[in-house]
Amino acid sequence: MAFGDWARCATLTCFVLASVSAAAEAQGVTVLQPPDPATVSVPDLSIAPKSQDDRSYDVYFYFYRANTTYGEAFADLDVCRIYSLSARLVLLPPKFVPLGVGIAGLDSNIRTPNLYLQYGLIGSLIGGIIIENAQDDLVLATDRRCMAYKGYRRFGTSRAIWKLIDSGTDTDRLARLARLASGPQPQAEALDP
Amino acid sequence: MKLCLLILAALLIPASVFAEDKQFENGEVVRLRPDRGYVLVRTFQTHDGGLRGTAMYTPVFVRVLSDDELKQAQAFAASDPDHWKEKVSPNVVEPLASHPYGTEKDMEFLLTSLSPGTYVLAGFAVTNWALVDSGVLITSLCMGTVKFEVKPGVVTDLGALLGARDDLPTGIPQLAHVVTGKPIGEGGVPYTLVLQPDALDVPAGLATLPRVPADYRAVGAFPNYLGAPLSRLTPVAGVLAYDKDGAVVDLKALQN
Repeated sequence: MAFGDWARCATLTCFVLASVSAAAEAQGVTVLQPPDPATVSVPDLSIAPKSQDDRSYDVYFYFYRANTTYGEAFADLDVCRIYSLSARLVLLPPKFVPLGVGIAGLDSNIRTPNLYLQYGLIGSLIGGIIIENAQDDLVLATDRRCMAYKGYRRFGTSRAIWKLIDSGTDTDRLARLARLASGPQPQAEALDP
Repeated sequence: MKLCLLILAALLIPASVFAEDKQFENGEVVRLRPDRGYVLVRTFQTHDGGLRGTAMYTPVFVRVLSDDELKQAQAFAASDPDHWKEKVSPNVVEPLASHPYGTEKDMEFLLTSLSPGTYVLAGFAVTNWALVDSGVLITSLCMGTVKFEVKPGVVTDLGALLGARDDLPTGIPQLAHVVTGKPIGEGGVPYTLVLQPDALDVPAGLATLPRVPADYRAVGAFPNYLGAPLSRLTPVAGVLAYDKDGAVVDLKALQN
């Protein structure tokens, strides 16, 4: 789906999810379906954080937005997950982007710079290691930024609670996060995006 | 293993070439062709500090494909899944900061001829002393940006584009109250980008050319085709805004 087809969707979430989904599928990324929220259990977040927990809030966190349904939160989390998977560091501009007025279902031609020619063998090895190490951090940062743009606030949690949220498949994780994002307002203070 | 693949890919992929589009340099004489479009954009040097040195931010434009062009690309993809991307015509334009038409203090004027059509401001690349001509992509504006028409035979004036790191305070007055000054985790450097459509001064060599200001319109979220770190354009007065849920608001459509 691309520009012209967006008008056929009834809601904004539909616009974005459908277009992002079509591109994701062209790149081999599976779009997730929300399970029945009645089957999704979430950990107890009322446990008081320990003094050292806030050091890890860059990694262990969940989101909340007022007046949001479970379905909306799951869709937003999935769009942001797909965006996170698509983001890469140190790319050249592509030559072709399938942005058009009709059905696309294609991906663009992502291009990486020739580190070897530019920086030599040692430089390319060092650069490759740096890029590789930063990629996981980029996924987290992209998720945070995407959800912040969508109006969600971020709340820190402990590693132990996060492990409960994060267990199982991507669908399991997103379902728990969607329950939290659409559930009761957290008592804790929101963090910076 | 991933590292080996990355290096192998880097060795195999050639450098950036956008052969179809011409960029005018060093005050050369410009004669407009009636069948070509032209865009003029201003960009600025910024001092990122440390090893990064002086950076130049350059816009990346994507021409919106017609239905026929998309169908042709789909046909190529179906008939040759491994090499179809080498057969399709490029629709991405990046004026290079290293080839300015003219400079004025820290500002560069970038003038490029391209195919007429509708263009989306899709992202930004940054160049500095350590990067190749086309720089590397720093931002994909896939969560909100603008588009504009490029008509043949005239210069479409895009105004000025300003950029700065979002995680640090900036001395650029137009960005001082826009950047957050706070890091978002460790995943790359976030950037804030501002469009100034009303910055329309031109060098003497371009003053006599027919020139129209870009008629910007808001564009909603789209897939991250550029593959760069995700972002969105800072709101543009009278053109682009965002609601509380991050949805793009087309301010010109609201006026009509």
